[in-house]
Amino acid sequence: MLIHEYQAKQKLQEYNIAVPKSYLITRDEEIIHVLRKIETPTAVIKAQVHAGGRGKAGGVVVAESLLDGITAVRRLLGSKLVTNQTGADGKPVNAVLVEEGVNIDQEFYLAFTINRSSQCISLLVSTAGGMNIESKEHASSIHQYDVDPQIGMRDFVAIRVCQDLMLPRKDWPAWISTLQNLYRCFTENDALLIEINPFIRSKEGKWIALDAKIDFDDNALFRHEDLIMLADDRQQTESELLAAHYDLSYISLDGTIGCLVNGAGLAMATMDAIKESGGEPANFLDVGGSATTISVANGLDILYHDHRVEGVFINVFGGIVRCDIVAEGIIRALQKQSKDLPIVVRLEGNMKEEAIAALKAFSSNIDFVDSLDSGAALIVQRINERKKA
Amino acid sequence: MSIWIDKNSRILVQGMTGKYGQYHTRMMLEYGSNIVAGVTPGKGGEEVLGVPVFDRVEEAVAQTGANVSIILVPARYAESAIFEAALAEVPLVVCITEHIPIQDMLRIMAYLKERPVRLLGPNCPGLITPGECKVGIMPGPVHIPGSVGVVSRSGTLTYEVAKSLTNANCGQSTVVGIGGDPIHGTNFIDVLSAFEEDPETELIVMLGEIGGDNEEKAGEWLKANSSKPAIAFIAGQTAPTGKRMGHAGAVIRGGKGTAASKIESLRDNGVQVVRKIADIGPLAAKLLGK
Repeated sequence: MLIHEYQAKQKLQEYNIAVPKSYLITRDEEIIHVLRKIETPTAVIKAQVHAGGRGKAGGVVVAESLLDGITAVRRLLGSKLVTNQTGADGKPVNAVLVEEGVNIDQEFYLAFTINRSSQCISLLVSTAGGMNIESKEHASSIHQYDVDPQIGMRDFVAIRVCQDLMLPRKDWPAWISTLQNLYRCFTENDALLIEINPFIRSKEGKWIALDAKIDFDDNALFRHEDLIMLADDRQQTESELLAAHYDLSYISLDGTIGCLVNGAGLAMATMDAIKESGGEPANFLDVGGSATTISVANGLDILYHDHRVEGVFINVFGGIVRCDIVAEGIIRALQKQSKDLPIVVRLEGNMKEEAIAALKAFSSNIDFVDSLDSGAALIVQRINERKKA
Repeated sequence: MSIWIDKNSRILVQGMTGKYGQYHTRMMLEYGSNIVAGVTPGKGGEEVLGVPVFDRVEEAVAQTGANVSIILVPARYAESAIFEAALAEVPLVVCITEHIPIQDMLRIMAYLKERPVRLLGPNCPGLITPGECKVGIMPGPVHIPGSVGVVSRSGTLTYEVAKSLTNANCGQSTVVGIGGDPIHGTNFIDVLSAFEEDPETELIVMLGEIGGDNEEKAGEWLKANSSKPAIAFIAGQTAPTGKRMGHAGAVIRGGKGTAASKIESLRDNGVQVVRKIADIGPLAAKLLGK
């Protein structure tokens, strides 16, 4: 679960990490009132959205005057910010963070993350803070440390980091406590990622987190009621919220072919087959390995609700699930729909014939196929036929 | 022959008395798996489908000689269930449960390093030695006995591939699902090593997906160590960066873990990578000279 930068900074403050003095604006009438409180020559105006790439997209502005600040906040608040990570629709800016300017002496990159290979929490640090750390030219400058879960972030572990960064001894105590506090924040909150980029030393010698990104483990939210409060539904699309409500795994993509599949791996393979046939998937939708009547019906509701979807491919490998149960879900959903979309169905497993017979009796408008690949090809063909007609 | 399970495996089901646990216990019994015990805290002394239920794993192992455990408990109880099985030194622990917090898995993996216990999963379909034993939730009938070893990060996609192999009359020695989570007990190389040592396995089919670098490492391992031909398929060629595609582990980060890089790496290491699932059966038949 991603949270906003301002929420992440509040979380960091709970763990004694310093952040710039800041104010949050959510309503137009607060703008001038808040901006007048800024005591530094510059103010940093930051759109609060669940996506990176804000700087390049105009979502972060350094204002040198009150008027500049008002203009920037007005432009951002209530707009949709499109960055290279949001997709074409962008994310709504419902809040703008206004921070006092900081005199930067040196910038660092600092992150704790889960390391899949070494199966532990890893610390990543670099002196190339503020940069696009994922770009290739900076990748070599990153120091990586695997933290042994039984030892934790001890002083000697942190001192090793200070030495590698060639920090002067006077900076060691600040770094040791920062790293220990961040590690504690990571483990106590079941985080998947805490990233501070940049973590800076100000000209006045203070250590400050200028930006912060935190991602919490959805699967651990049952033991963190306080974190659930930080969720912001408005950062998700309507389809994503519907899917979350129905407990389905859904991701919106840029194409036109809606797909409904049971199982994540099969759903990805189905998307790939659609692409291979010259189509573009509109979504990833996994109704669960053991699909039920309700999960299939709810999944189809989501696809029909999405105005971009021009055709639907249903691919369910029954196995243990009975196909007639899946067919019942399809019928239940289609009964409510007035939209006439081409549908291709591929069912495999027990009661397959009965399921297909029931669907044929319900509608003459559904095509049936025996394999994933032929289904992908057929739905692409059906959509093209309609466009020509 | 097979790897890790066969008709002599003595299976313990953790979470057997729940609805889900009972259903899959029945499916496994119907397949012919030798289920000797169930464990549900507080339900010791009861019986489910003729199988005795115990309160604790240690008791169940002591009284029944169980040597494989399958975990079908809800996510918030899974960490404890795995620790309990590991403490009782059940040699093979198969965790089907999905949505286990990742830091629970970090604690488990640190602990298992010191134990003679293999964890398969979590978030996996389990494993099956066709015709002998099923420790998992996969549909039995799509499998037939034979010489193809299958290892996969996915569930239903694996059933799809098993069917493609079965349709081409290529039976399977053992089919193993390692699971879709980023932190898992058994990786591709563990399974590939076992297939290499299994004389009955003549051909390997590997099903990977985006995220992490497990497939790349498996490719390098195969080139250096394997005497058997291998076929691979990678799901998620159309997946966008930064989004978790259903499986917690299926995510491309900072340009790493893409399908394209995995496919290229596997091909460089001599693995035949197919673009369509349906091609796997016919290609396997060709490689086996059928």
